[in-house]
Parts: sequence; structure tokens; C-alpha cells
Amino acid sequence: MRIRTRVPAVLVAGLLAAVAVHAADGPQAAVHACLLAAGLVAGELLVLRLEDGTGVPLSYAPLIAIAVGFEPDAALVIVCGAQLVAWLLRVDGRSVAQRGLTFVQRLAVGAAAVGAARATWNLLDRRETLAAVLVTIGATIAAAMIVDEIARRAQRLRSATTARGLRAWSALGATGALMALGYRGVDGDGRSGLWSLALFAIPLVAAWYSFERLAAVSRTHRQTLRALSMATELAGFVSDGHGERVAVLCERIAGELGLVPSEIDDLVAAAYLHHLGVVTIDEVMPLDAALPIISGGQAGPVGPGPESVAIVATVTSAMLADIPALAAAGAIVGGQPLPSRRPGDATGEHRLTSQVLKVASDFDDLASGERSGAAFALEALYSSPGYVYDRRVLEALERVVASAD
Amino acid sequence: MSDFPRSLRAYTAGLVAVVAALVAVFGSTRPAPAWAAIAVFGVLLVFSEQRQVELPGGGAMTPGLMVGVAAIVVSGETGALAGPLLVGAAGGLYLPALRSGRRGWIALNGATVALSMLAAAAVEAPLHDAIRESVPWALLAALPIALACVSAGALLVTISYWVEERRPVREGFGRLAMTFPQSVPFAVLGVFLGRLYLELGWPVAILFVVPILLARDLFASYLELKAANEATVAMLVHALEAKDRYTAGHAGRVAQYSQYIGDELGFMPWRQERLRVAALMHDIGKLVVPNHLLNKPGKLTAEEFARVRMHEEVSVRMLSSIDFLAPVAPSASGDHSRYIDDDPRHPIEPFIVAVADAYDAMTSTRSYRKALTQDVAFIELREKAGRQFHPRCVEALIAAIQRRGEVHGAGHEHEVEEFAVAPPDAGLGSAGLGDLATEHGPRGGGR
Repeated sequence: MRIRTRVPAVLVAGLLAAVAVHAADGPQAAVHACLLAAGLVAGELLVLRLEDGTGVPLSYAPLIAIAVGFEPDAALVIVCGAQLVAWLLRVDGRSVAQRGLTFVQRLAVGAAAVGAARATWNLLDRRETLAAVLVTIGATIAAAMIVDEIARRAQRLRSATTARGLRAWSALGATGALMALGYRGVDGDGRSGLWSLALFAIPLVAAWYSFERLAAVSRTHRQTLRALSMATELAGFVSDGHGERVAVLCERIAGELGLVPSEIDDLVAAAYLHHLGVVTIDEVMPLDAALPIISGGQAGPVGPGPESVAIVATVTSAMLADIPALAAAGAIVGGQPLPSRRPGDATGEHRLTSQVLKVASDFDDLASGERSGAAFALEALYSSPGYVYDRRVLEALERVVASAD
Repeated sequence: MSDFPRSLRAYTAGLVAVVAALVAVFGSTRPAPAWAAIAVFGVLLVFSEQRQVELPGGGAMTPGLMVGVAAIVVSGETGALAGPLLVGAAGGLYLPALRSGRRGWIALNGATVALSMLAAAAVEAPLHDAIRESVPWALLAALPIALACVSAGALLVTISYWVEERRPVREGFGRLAMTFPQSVPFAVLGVFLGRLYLELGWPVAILFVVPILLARDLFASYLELKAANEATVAMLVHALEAKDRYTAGHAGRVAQYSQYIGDELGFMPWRQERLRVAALMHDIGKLVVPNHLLNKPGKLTAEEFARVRMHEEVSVRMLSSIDFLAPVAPSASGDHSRYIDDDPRHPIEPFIVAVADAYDAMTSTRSYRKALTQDVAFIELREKAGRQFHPRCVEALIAAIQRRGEVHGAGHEHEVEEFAVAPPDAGLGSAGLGDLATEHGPRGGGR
């Protein structure tokens, strides 16, 4: 069953359970618990996806309302029950053990939220003022966020404190706070009741939808770039997978150098496309014949190849310059230090990103050649004249290579 | 006011005067507005209006209506009609326009939004108690409030269009049908934001806007990245045309004819979009074919022909590597898109692209053959329907072209390259390989 089917199915099941409890003259709290648990399970199935593919679930928003709006024992029963159902429904291709870890993580976050809500509320003498309720909600959100981050680190997942992760948490926290305020109110009897959960979920679901669209188009864009880079590989101009390897390497080096996301995006596009110009030039020799060959203490590019590299870079840069969305990538390709340029010429807006591209591309060519090996490639790059490769970029590359070993 | 039409000046001055008079009248005859609420919602409305997302099909999306409706509900508590007018007037403050000195437009927009809000407030007034007391009634009340706001806005815009350029009334009201559906969810949220504000005060207004702004920012990033991907595909087409100048415009035309067929077959917009991109990229594999082979006048040798045909396999491989296009990747292969049977398990897109590709190949001048007439191309497609081409796709393309009254082919080509060796007239090869020497291989399949 796809998510689009599972989420409504869960909500309908929760509604039916609530109706059944109501019909059997069950307590109102139990009716609410059925609906809130359904909301929690549905929220588990919808995830605000982060850059690395992991995500923060929408369920953290109703969790805040549950933690603040119920007594701790009742809140924990709702959380445990809902997480158990979510564990069974979360069929996402991961192993049972991985899903088990997620289950434990969610339980820990739930317990922390419930505990923090109760402790803060008691600490504030259960004063029924807006400020006390807001402080309690704030403490609940903070506890959930901290435990989630600890669990991520324990599972060696990427931190959710990236730019996108923090935006996701801000949306979840704000929605959770509204849900708690609407459901509980200041005096423990919110006038909007359960409606507030349904209504305040709308902006959050809109945010989730936007996250999903953005993730899908990001994936398509990257795959389109990779498909274009394959053209140069399938034609035999460069080794298979060169574009992908250079793109990944550029991304990591850029991360080491602290470049901003927009610069990294342009750099990745440039990495995939940096040899594309070769397809418009007839009968160009394979580029591996045009590498900067360094041996026996002799440093610097030799042989006829460098001219080809320069021509391809110039043609590629001109191709990309015609397309506004890729013009920055074109400038990065065109800004690479080339043998035809004098030392010090490679300056300008894209100097550092151009350096990263040059270093990553040459490293990949050297490391995947016959005399292969990262150590050889690094030594060769370090042995080049100072104006060819920026020392900071080489050091960043060295750190990336060391962390991959 | 330099770019503000002279014809609109009196109209704008009139609207501003009406708004000012109404504020004065309501201020003296009705209870005073809640100034703190007006300040909060006024600032939020200005902020929201700065963060419009321009939609690809025209128009813009903004959470401004949500903020405005919340202000109406809050003002409705005391019946202070000056509140919605003042908050609405703030909605005209579009900062880039203010910075560039376009004060005329700011005044016009501010007055239009203020009067739209007043109309919505007039509808909200008799419903206010129900909104406060019952959640289901609050949900229902959002509909007439949104309708009043959008209708009043559409009326005022229509009048301004007419005053400015005597533009037809239907143009202004055309906006109503477009904006009303997207305004309803914002109105519903606005009603509940107003209720919650009355219950809990200003912090909820701030909290409420956070996820909406996040959704807006992400949606804007999505549109931006989508445009970047479009640009990447455009660059691919540009690169292909740089290699093979004699097929200039081919990819674009194949995409256009494919969409004609998709239209006829009743494709949903997302499927049309996928079809368009697949058609644009159907020749992507040509990037690996040497230029001199693509541009060779006359016949190809068997070895050259095999090398050229290699592009189909490469195209399929490259398109398959894009998840979005993988299901229709065979569009790029002559073999896979050859019609065999109408198995509903197989996507029809490859057959669509094959027909569109063949039609464009036949109606364009190539290095190996001059363009055929449209009638000959139609006959050729129909003759091979059911064997080489999917019959439904053939009929759909012919019907679409005839309904549009378009004529392609000999005598109607837009761009014809100068060939070093004049192409021969002969050759009916439906997909464009024309009079390729028969000993070298099969006829058919676009080059």
C-alpha cells in the first residue's frame, strides 16, 4: 500500500475506533486518544525529508499536543500504541533491525517529550497562564529535538541541525505549539479541541508536500546532470563514472571549505558537465591523454593534452553561459586554472569553486589511472607549481580522502 | 508615478478617497478597532505580500488572504469595520514597488485590497457568532467570506482594466475562476487563526505563519530548481543542434507533436510533462555520435549506419538513469517503439514519440532527402499504422494537426539549412533514413 493510501486508511481506522468507543459509552479521553493516536501514526508515515534522505516525521507535531494535553501515563500509552502500529506499517525497504531502531528512537523522543512537559509544568506550579503554557510547550519541543538528535548520532545518521533540518523543526515546533494551544488551551479546555489538530496540520502537510516536490525535482535534476555527464563517458572521452565521482568529491571538498549551498549546487552542476563541450568537437582525443602528468620530480602538465583540456573547458563554459540557470556553473568550468593561462590569472568570483573542480577532476583522473591510488594522486597534485592548485583546496581534499579511508 | 497610466489616476484617487471616507465614518460611528491586532495583522500581511510565489502558469500565490480573513474575524468581535480596511490597505505595500517609486500602483492595490476585505467583513458580520461558537460553522463560513473577498477584488480589477485599456470584462472576471479555488483553504485557515487569536492572543499569529512561510519557501525553491532542470534539458537540445545543424528544431517539434497526441489521448498534466521531456530528450544519445557522421550528405556505409544507430541504445541507457523518465525510456529506441500490440501494461509514450519523430523526419528536409508534403506523410503514417506505428497515435496526431489547421512539410518549413550537397527528392522511408542503400540495413528509424 502506498503512502497516499496508507495515511487516509490510518485516519479512517482511528475515526472508526473513536466512534466505536463513543458508541460503547467510553470516556471522552479514550475517544480523543483514538483520534490522536491515528494522527500520530499518520504523521509517522509522512516525513520532512532532509538532504541525506533521512527525515523528521510530522508526528512530532501532534506528539507535542499529546505530551502537553494528557496526563503522563495516558500520553505514554497513546505514544507506545501509535508507535507500535507505525512500526508495522512503516514498510520502506529497510531491514527489520533498522525499523526497530527507528521504533526505539521514536519511543525515546516520545518519552522525553512527555517527561519534559510534566516536569516543566510542575516546576511552574501548574499556573494557568499563557506564558506558563508556552514555556511548557517550548521545553517539550526542546526535549524532543535533543533526544532525536542524540538518537541520530547514535545511529550514525546525519544531524538534523542542517539548514533544512532546522527549518523542518521550526515548522514542526510551531505547528506542535499551535496544536497544543488549540487542543489544551490555557485553562486545560481548548475551545477548538481536536479540530485544532486537523486544521493546523494543513500548513504542515503543505510544507511536507513542498518538501517532497523539492526532493523529487532535486533528484531528477541531479539525474539529468548525471545522464548528460554519461554522454562523455559512453563516447569514451573520459572514464566511466568520472562525472559522478567528481561531483561527489566536489560536494565533500566544498563542505570542508564551508561553501554556501548555492555555491555547492553550482559546483556540482559544473562537476557533472565540465567535459560536456567535448561532444560538440569532432574527433577530440580521449581526455585521459591530456592529464597533467607528473613523474620523476618533474612537475606540471606536459604533452599535447592540455590544449584539448583548455578547448573543452572553453567550449563547455560557452555552452553553459547561454543558459541563465547554468551560467554560474559555466563560469566555474571556464575559471579553472589552465596551462594556457599565466600564473595568477585565475581570479574572480568563482576562483575557489573553479579550483575545487580542477582539483577534484584531476585527482579523479590520476587516482583512477593505471598508476592508481589516492596517495599517488595527492602527491602528484601537491607537487604541481603553486599557481595550478590552491593549497587550501588540496588540504580539504586530503581531509576528504582521509575520512573516506 | 512615472509608469502609472494616466487613465487610472482619477480611478485610483477615487478608490483611495472612498477608503479614507469609510475609515473616517466607521471610526466615528462604530466601536474603535483593536489597534494591537491591526498592527500584528497589518505587519503580517505586508510580510506575506513580499513573499509571493509566482506560478508558472501565471498568477501568484500568497498567504495574504489568510492573514486578512483572520483580521476580519478579530475585528468582527467588536464590529469595528475600520480594522479590515486598514489591514487591507497595508496589503498594497509591496516593498519593491515602493523602492522603485511606483506609488500609484501601491495606492491602487492598497485601496483594492482594503475594499475587498471590507466586502468580506460585511459577509463575516452576520456569521461571526456562529464562527465563534461552532467549529463546523466556522469551516462553512470560510466559503462565503472567501467568495466575497475574491469577487470584490475581481470586480475592482475588472473596472481598472476597463478604465485603463477598455479591456473586456471577462478578462477581469476570468481571474475569479482561477483564484477562488486556491483562496478557500487560506480562508479556512484565516478563520481559525482569527478564532485562536481571540482566545490566546498575538503569539499564535506568529506561530501560525512559520510553517506556511516554510511551505512557501520550499515551493519557491522547487519552482526554481524545476526551472534549472528545464534549462539543463534546453541546453541538451542546444548541444544536439550544435552537433547536428541539419536537424535544428527537431527535438522541439517532436515534443510539440507528442503533446498534441497526448492531448488527444486525454493525458493528465503530469503525464504530458513527462512525455514532453522524454520527447525533447529522445535523441540524447546523438551526443556520442561524431559530428561528421550526423552531418554526412548522402548515404552512410554499413559501419557508419551502425555507429549512428548506436545512439538509440545510448539514449535508452541515459534516459533510464532518470527515475522520472525511466518508464518511458524506450521512447528513445527505434526497436522498442515499433508497434507490436496494444498491451495496456506497456506505456504508450514510446509509440507516441515514434510517431511524432517519424512525422517530423518526413516533413523536414534532411541531408539525405528533401521534405515530403504533409499529405504524403499522413498517407505513410496510416499505411504503416498497426505494423510500425501505433494506430491510435497516428490518428491522434493527424486529428490534432488537422483541427489546428497546421500545415508542415515541403513548402512550409520554417528553417531550412543550406546543404553542401543538395539532398535528393526521393525516399519515402517513414522515419527518415530514406534511400539508404538497401544492402546496409533496414529502412526506418529516425537518424
